[in-house]
Amino acid sequence: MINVARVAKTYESPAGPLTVLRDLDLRVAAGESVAIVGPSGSGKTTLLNLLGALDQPTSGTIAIDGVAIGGLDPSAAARFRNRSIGFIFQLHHLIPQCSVLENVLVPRLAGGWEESATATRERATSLLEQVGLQDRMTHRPYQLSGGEQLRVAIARALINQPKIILADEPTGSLDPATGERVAELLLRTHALATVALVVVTHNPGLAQQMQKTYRLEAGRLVS
Amino acid sequence: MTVTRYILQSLRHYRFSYLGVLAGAVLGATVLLGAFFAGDSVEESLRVISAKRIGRATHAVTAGDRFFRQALAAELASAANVRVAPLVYARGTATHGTTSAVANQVQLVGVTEAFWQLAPTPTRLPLEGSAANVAINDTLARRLNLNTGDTLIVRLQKPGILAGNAPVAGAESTLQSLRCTVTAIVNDASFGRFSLETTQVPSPSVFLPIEQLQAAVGYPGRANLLLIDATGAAPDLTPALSTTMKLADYGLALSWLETAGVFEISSSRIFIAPELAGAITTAVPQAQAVVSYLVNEFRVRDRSTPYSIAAAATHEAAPFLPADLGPRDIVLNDWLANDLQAAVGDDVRLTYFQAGASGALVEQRANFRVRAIVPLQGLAADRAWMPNFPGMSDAKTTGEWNPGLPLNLELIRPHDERYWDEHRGAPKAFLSPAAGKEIWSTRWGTSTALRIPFPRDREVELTATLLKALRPAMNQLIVQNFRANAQAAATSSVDFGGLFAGMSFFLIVAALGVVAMLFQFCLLQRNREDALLGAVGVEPRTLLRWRLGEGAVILVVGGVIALPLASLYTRGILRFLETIWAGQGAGPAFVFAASPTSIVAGGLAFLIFSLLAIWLTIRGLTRRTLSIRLASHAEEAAPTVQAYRRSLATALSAVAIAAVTIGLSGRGLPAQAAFYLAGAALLAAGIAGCRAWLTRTSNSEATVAFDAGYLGGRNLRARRSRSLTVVGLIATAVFMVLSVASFRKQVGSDWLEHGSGTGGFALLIETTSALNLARDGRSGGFEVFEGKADLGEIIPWRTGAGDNVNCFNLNSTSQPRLLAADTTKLGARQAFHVTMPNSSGSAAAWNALRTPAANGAIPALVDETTLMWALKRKVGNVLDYVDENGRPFKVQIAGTLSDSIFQGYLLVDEQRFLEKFPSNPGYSIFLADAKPSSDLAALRSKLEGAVRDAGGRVTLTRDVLAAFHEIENTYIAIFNVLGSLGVILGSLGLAIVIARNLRERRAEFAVMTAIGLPRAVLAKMVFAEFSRLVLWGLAIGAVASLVAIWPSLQALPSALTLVMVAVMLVGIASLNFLCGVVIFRRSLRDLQPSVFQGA
Repeated sequence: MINVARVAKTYESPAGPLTVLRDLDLRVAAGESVAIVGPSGSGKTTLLNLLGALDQPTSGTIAIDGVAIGGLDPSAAARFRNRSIGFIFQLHHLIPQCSVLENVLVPRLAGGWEESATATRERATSLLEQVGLQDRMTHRPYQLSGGEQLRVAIARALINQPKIILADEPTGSLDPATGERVAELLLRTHALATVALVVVTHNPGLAQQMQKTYRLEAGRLVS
Repeated sequence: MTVTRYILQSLRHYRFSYLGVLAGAVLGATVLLGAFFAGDSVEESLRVISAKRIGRATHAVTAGDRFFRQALAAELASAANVRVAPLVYARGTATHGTTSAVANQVQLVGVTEAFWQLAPTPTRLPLEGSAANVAINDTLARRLNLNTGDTLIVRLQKPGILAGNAPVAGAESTLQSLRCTVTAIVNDASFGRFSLETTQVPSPSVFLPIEQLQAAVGYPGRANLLLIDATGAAPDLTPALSTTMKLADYGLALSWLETAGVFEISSSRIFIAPELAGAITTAVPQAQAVVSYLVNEFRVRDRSTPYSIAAAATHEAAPFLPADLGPRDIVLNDWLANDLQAAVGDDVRLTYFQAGASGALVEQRANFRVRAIVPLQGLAADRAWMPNFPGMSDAKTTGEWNPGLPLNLELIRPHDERYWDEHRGAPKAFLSPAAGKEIWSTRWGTSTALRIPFPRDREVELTATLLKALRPAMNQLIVQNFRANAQAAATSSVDFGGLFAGMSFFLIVAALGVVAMLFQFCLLQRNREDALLGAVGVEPRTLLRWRLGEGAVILVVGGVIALPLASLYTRGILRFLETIWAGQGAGPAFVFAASPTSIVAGGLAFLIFSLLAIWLTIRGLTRRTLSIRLASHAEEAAPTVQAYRRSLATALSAVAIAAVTIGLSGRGLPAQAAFYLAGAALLAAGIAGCRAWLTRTSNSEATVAFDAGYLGGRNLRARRSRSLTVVGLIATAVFMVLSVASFRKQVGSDWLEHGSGTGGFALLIETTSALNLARDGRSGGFEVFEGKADLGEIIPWRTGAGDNVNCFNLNSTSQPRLLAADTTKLGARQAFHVTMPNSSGSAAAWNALRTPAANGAIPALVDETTLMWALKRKVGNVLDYVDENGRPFKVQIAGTLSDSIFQGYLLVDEQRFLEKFPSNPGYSIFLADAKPSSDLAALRSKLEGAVRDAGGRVTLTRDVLAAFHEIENTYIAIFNVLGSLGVILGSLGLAIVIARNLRERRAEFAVMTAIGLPRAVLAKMVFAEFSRLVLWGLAIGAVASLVAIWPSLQALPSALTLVMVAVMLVGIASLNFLCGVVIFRRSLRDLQPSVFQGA
């Protein structure tokens, strides 16, 4: 499903080039769940950006489901993300002017979906029911708690029926109890959707619940 | 959810953030739409004024200085099934009977009731009740403060039979004075604006009963203008006019000469116009031309005979003459032969008056040899040889002669008197036709009669033959398509829409800049939203489209709000424009108009330009790497060395372009244009240099002290796009305001130099009636100027066909009024600064006007402002004119005058002019030199008294130039006002940037406050930021504009200019600093140390 080979990522900065990832290899099978842990600044989010085709590696190749995403132009990368990736961000990034239901439907705005709008809407409603927000569908993000906002983000990540879910510190901004419930939801959702799940986290509890855990050190992954 | 719904929801959610964008959009759209509406309004105003000026008339028959039967109007109306009003049209002066206030160049219109029926709103205004009752228009009423019941004194010159100084044309014209009572004040609807001139400025007018004006001009029962409403009739009225006209309408009379047994055609103008004579001799080949003339003296040896009539005729007309009479032969009657004791073969010298080139009468001489002596009897003694010489024919005795010539009647002897008593004007001598033509030809004609052998009982047939051969234009009766011409001219020569768009350019750009910047700020708030949309697969270009969609909605709403505001703005502009013409007796003239085309075009232009500005600003945002935006709110990526080098290269290239442009100054590019372009290039260089400074990498900064100022610089660089926007706005504002302000024109202290725009003449004298040189020609000048010791050279000008198209006239016309003068004198004087291709210097240019162009066109000079703005032509272009007989001819623009008092005219050589307009009545414009030590004010006052009877106005030429400059300066003032609004908007942009920066950094300030930094340090940091922006902007703008105005700086008083520049710079700087201080104080007013916790 995910095949990362000898990937490096270097940023230009006024102080000179800064290499965050170097010769990094990673394989994730379909339906597999992987946790990536490591200290702050070790490059976890950078790796997630690369896996999500949000950024380009400086060298090396990243193939997802056989597609080399490193060589995609911005438009192709966008289409790829829209069809294949589900993102869950630490700060949720819900659109404040949209309702909960609309936030879940946001990926459909990219257009080109074969599914009818009604069908997508029904699935969005179903997803919100799965994450327990069936009563909050018309609410605005600012009317939700942090845990609820994260659950909206999970529903949104699933609306395009992705092959991979990439989650960046999904429980990082939540209190332990809420974080635990969200982690449980994430895993349940993963099991139901049978997608690959890559989670970047500082939460050891969450990491332990993943099938594999990698540690990012000095720009490389170690088991 | 649909994209549309998403966009609308976004707009609703961020509505308060977008208020600034909306405000900017409203301002920009108001100014742009206002410019379009200003154009519409001027066009509509001209159209409305034009409609008021011509009323219901569709055609006019003009007749130059000719008069025709008033009855022709009714006959034409019947023949062509049209409505016709006969008019007598003249110019004169009007004086308030009580206050003695005087108005010159007043239209005097002799009308019948038919005239008022052609008014825009037909009305009845019976003036015939009393000959002393007149109506005036409200322009004259305003100018002289006249009311109904007031007494008005109208003065006009009674025209002579022949215009100008024609010999034997009778006494010079005399001043007529009419004391009238104002019985009505006519408004525009009732034809108060009636005028033949294509101008939006109303002429002061007096409407008199036609009989009263006919009596004043000495043409009872005659008219010189027909106004026609030919609605529904055949468009070409010339055939109907042609078939309606009688010989009297051509100024001709057909009479039977009993003694000669022939018909004779004579002219009321003494000389039969060449056009008429040619047509008659073609139609009736047996017609014989005769010219009779007053001879001052016949002299044979020491004997002389004074003041006698002589005639030139063919043998067919005068069978008593030898058939082979040669061009140097003369036949005397026996009375004269006896008086001179002359015999066949003697030499005879004739002395007679002829009009010289300058118009003055010159006594000429011609020598002949006596070929024969004929008895004074029969046809040789026929009094009919002498035409109706005014002042002579009716005189009972020679002592009563008053032919308008400087005759010494004391020379007339008793037997001369007896000859007059017994034989009247029977010629004492006869010449051959060739000799008569050679010595007595005038520009008005070469024959005083045509004698036609034709059976007496077939007069009707002969008359019909003659009329068939004649065309109205041969007597200057020309049918004008009055309405079509007026409508064609009712399009402004100046595109006010474009002009105001140009003058508002910077304000519009500033508004667009602010709109784009505010929109960018709004999007920056939504950085994460954009990033998320990108993350979920919305393509950058799709996202850009959505954002532009949001922008478009705001812009459309702004445009809708701007519509009524633009209307108010335009009305303000129109009221301001009216002040230009307020001094000319014109009331409010402009009407507001906004065409659907302008609304759509203006709205679309604004939408497109605004979206372009927004697109330029935000495309970078939507293209930026998603991960960067997801990670932070950072506006921009870290600067790169490449960006720095690119900016530096751009700056250096622009400097190089500026250097090259300055190098081209005077070598293909005018200095003013070269330096202006160089200034613009330096402006670009400065902005690029500023960008280079903002993108400079931080390596060098390690050595800089870490203080508030350093932090301020870092902040500017972190937000360099907005910093650069502000610097660009301020710099461009300074550049536009300073550089354009420098184009203000003023009359230089060198205004009396021959090469200046006044030609070195101190005084411009314009008269309502044409003047001519004193008849005796002895003084060599004009009687009105005699005895004015302070006067130097006087150059008189004839005015001709066309309209004055100076900058006071908004109408467009392709026929500027022709002005003609003696170009030899102007060349000798090297008057004005004349530029003509292939001619070196002013003298050569003036002299070149005497030679027709290769294509036969008359060469002309034109003021360069008129050429560029009113005519929109180039040197070498040819303009079409019609001469006084309706024949087309061409005038070629051969060169230009720089910044002259002759705006609105084409200047041609007098002789070339008189070939086309031989009937021109004389001179009505005079340029006069003043002696160096003379008191100009006193001289002007003295001259005004001298030319009062001629309706004269005397102006200092520097005041004429200043009036033209005032128009241009008014436009520059408008530009400056709008530019200043742009400066204010630029300052507002700075304020917004500062406010935005402060708002984004409240957490940073809170932390600093928490760790104990005093407010003064924060202030210093912020001051370091915006002071650099202001100083960059001011410095770049000032340097660029100083280069741009360098040529003007050398010409203007430097102290004044420097003060102006300094005041503007200080003003702009103060405004910006004030904004900064106010915003800083407001932004940090409620700042608490705890803020960072929630930030």
